[in-house]
Amino acid sequence: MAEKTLLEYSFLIFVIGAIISLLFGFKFKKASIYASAMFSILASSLSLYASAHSLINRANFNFSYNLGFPIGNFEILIDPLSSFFILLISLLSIPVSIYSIGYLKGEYLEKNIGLITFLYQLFILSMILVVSSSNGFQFLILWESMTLISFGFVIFEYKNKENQDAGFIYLLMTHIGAIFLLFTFLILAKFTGSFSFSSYFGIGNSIPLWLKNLLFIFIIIGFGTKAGIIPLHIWLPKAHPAAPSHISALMSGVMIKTGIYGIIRFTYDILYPFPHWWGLALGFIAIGTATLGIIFAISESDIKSNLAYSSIENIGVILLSLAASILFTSYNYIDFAALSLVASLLHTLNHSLFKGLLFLSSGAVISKTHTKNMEKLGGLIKLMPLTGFFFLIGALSISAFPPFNGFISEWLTFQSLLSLFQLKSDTIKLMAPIAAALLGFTGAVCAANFVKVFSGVFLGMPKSHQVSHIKEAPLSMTLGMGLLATACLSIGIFPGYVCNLLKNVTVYIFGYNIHSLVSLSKTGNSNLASNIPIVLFILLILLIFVILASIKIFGSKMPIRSDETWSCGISPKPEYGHTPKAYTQPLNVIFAELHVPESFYHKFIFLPIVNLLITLSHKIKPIQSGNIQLYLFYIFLALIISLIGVRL
Amino acid sequence: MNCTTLQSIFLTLFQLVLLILLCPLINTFIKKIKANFQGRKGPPILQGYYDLVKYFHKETVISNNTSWIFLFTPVILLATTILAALLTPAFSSHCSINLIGGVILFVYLLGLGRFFMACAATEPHSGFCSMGASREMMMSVLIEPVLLLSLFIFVFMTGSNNLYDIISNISNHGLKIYTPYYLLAVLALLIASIAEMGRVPFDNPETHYELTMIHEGMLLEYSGKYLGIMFLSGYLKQLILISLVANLLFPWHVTFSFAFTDIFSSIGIYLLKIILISLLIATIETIIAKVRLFRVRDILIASFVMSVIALVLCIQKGSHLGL
Repeated sequence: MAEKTLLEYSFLIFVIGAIISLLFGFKFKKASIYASAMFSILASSLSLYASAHSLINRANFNFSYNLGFPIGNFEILIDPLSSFFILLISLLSIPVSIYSIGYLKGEYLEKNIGLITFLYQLFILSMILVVSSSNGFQFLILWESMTLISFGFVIFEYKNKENQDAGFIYLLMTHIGAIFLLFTFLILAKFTGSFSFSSYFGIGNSIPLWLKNLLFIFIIIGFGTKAGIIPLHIWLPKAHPAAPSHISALMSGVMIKTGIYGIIRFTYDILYPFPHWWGLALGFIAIGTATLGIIFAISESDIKSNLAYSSIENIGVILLSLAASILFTSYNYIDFAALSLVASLLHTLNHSLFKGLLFLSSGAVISKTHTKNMEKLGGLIKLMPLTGFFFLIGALSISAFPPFNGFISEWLTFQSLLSLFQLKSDTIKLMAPIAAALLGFTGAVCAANFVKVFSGVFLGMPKSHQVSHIKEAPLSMTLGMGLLATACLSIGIFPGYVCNLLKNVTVYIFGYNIHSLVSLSKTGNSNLASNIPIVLFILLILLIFVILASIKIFGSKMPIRSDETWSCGISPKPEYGHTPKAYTQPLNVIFAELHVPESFYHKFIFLPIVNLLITLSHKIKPIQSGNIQLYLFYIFLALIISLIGVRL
Repeated sequence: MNCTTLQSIFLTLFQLVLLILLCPLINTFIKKIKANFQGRKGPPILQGYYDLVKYFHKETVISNNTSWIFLFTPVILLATTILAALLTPAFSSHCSINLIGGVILFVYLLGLGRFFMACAATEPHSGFCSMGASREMMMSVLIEPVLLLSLFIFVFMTGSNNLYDIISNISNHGLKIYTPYYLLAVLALLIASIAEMGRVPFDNPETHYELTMIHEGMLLEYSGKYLGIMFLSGYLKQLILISLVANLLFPWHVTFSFAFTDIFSSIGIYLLKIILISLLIATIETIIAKVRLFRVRDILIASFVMSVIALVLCIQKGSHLGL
């Protein structure tokens, strides 16, 4: 099993790399950065190759190690679903690792570099292990370590009060999610007598319906917290901006997708078949998450919080097609369920690419200008032309404009929502097109938002003097961004290859090979997905050339003169243009009713939980007296109780 | 590549060229009708062409705050509008270039042009342009869901998301097509299209005053041939939307054949249809005043509700064409 060996090597390289770069970090900081990048690129390439290979071959195998832990063997499962997510993680890790060389050298050289590089590799490893783990207990441990490692990044600048708060909220919210997951596993273990996933698979028919519904709710809350569905999202816009930018890219790009992985794995593999209401409920959550997420995003002036909120929106879009898929499955329209699942997975992949790109390029801006506040930036496209160009590509992709990858997945999402119209339920027939129209709405707000971010950061005049003297980001950073930008464009032009890969996941899940996905979407031609986006791209390029040529030929031959902007007779100043805040004012006015302030979620979700915990711990405090006799008594009591328990 | 493919590509190109040639004329025509309503004489009917020729021969002056985006925007704007024009049937429903995405691609192509236009408008760093950009994006947020939802109703009716298929499918049904929900959906589409064109009551294409302008505000710093291209794409977008509404409101005689007589007669009827719609638009502009910026939301939400009602009726009745 070549894939198995490759994956094992990749795990090993991550661990070795982590240790080596930690050791280098004490003395040779630059060496530590290079070592970390080298090892993680090598390890990610190995896991990328292995996962792509096993996805193409639809490999399905598991292996386990006896690590001597009392919880049993360390079990790894590689099937098309987990291969896809490993592919996702490794694919983003490579450019991020390249980028990290320049980024860390520029920003973090005098800080504890060993810790960053150590945690960085363990973070990637923990994500890969989460999506390939096949034992409930082990899954929870890995899930927690993924959370804790990223928590380390969130509070890396621990002296900053905001980051401490962000870290606390992050830890608390993800643990609430983890509690629900713990319950899920305990219930499942009660049913099957084992923590191993292999015993869970396909038990959906033997669980009573009420318990299944309960499990579904637990799964949505548990994994949804990580994915950032509204109203459980409050940690996300705080934690992502606090981390270093290359980590934000990984957190937003892939870490929150482990939540999506969990939802897919647990609904399809374990809880199938579904009642009808699951898909509807998930659809409502999804469309709420998408619309509110982007509305919150647009009023943010902090570039990284803005991107974090837009991740929430994209999670909504991913869940929307997933909800459609669950609905189709519950009505037994397997081919359309597969189409929707492909839409969902493709958007997962695309989002990780363009959100990674956006975080990386905004990280480049932040590391050069030392501000996250868009109100102070501006005019950077002249100083950082490449970063600006890559950011533009990311912005176009995320706003789902053709010919970039976001358009393909959003179009498939539209397609799956519109196909819902054939289900025999009037509620769905009504809700599905409205959901699709709302998806269009989020797309438009997203475009408005990225006009704001792109023009606020890169266009116009610099709004503060700290911006005027900066230089383009170093080669490693632009290379990292460039790779992602290329990926965004190539998936947009050649989606067929990726769709065929994703089809393998649906073949695994539904056990059914759809002949052609796009023939389902009623545009006639059967192999449309593979060739028509190229036609669109070629036409676009052709038209651009024709127009440029006709400007040259028919237009006036006078040279273009450049002069001051007309500002009613006085010389222009940076203050005369609109700031990003002013730009969004009309939008904020029309959304005034929808714009629930963040404090709402704090007041009604976060604070009650915090208060409950504090009251509980105060209640428990009296038993901790510090008296050794009392503790001995506790031990004695525990012994008695457990003896009784064994006896009974 | 056989004979019919060539023929159909030629037909599509002919349709495109016709749209591009016709669009300045239609814009002037609406102006002229409006002027007649108001008791003025109005510009000569060829004024649109004179203007474009004039802009093409003027010197271009740009702001020194701008980057490549500013000069690239007119190009990409015209390119995306032409692509959208390729997706829209005018007189022939024969579709030669079956692009992925159908109505969704149509809406997103217009969105792509708008994205660049708004970005470019913030480049000169002038308050007026940025204000135009900010308002335009606000409008687009409201327009896009209405545009999509009303188009989805036709998608459900015909079971296709290609505009050519939709039109040719609908045009086979004669007067039977005028059901209440169909008319509601067309009305919602008309309102959204008027907003998308940037016309009264949403925006006034003829002013340059900072309090009223939206679309024109964004063009303020453009000059010369680039301004000409911006205008041309605006005209073209307007004509595409007019022909879309015209073909849906009067779904007759959109020919599918290559025969010359058929093509000529449908061109004639097409011209009649767009003249009717232009008259309608001119009438609306004359009798209705431009609304306050934030009232735009209410009108567009009303038209969203209209499409929802149309959808409910469509579901209740069971769509009677296909699907």
